[in-house]
Amino acid sequence: MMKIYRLFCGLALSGLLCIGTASAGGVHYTISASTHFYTDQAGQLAGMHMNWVYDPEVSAFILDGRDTSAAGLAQVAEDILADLDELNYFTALSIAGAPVSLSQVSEYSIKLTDQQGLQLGFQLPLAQAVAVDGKTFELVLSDPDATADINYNGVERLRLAESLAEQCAAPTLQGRSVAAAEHELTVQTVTIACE
Amino acid sequence: MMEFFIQGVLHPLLMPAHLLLLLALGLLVGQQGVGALKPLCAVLLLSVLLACVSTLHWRLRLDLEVALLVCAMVTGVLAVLRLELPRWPLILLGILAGVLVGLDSAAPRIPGLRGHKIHMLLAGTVLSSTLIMLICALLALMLRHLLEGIVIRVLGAWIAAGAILVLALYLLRDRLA
Repeated sequence: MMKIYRLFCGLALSGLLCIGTASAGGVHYTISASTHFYTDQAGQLAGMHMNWVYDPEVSAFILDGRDTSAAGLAQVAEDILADLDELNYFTALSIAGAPVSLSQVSEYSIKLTDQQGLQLGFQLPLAQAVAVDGKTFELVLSDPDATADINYNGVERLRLAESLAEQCAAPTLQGRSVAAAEHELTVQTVTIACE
Repeated sequence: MMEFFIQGVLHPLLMPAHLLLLLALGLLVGQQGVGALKPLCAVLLLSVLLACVSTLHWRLRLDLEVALLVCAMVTGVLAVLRLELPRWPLILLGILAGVLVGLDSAAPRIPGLRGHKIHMLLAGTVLSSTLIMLICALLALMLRHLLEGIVIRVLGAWIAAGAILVLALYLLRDRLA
């Protein structure tokens, strides 16, 4: 009888711990992204126009106690971009396998969506425009702390400038699961092959 | 702002490795008697606080889960053995536990988050970690002579076994998936 009781208690404890492990976690949030790759006058890849929609929960966190007028939101955008600058804008771009340096963001817009999510648009220029003909370039958006889950909801969220669209295949999107400390998130890789 | 504080308070309760370690430490401290309670509480409070504050400035990209579970297991085994420990190993254990819990409770880095929200979150974690240990130590203090201390030893064994189980599941998670 005692053995059965011990076995039951052991199973109950391990079950509880498994549930605890599965449900444990800190703050996590999602960003729904879309990107437009733009070129300079010579048709070289010059940067990306990003549009990120934060989920309403994290938007409420960020906006808690902040002024939500147009001027207040502009200050919020500046704060977000200042922090993102230190984190390389969660963006890793590589052309033919070589990482590409990014410049600081100077143009941005911000608004609240109908679902009270923050929608941040910003132009992320490359440090130097790059010719992409005959090359394949890859873009990965990921948070090194695995707090933000940044995802494209489909390839239609990726647009190429006209000159790029003429010489490059349509973007493809591949997701892979990454086990973070407390949860699992999907990191997507955008691949664009150009002739 | 209060949401952040509550989230911080709940953090050690939702993390099995943190909870096991704090409960084990509480049992061990309570078992040692009232003299160990005050310094250990102060040491734990300070070490969790300092470790939490350090995560605001730099962060370790280390998985501390294994270290937390091993520490919980060792502390649970010490409670089972019911040794009369000198003060310094207890204090070292308190510092180690506090640092591990604090470092593993790093505040989320959300670009654009301003104000004292993150501080409130960390304050909640520091307070709740210390209170969990203190409450457990006070209960252990009351129970330490019950059935010649067998209750505390059984609880210590459960915690050590729980830590080993979680550790085994954690280390085998890739094979089990």
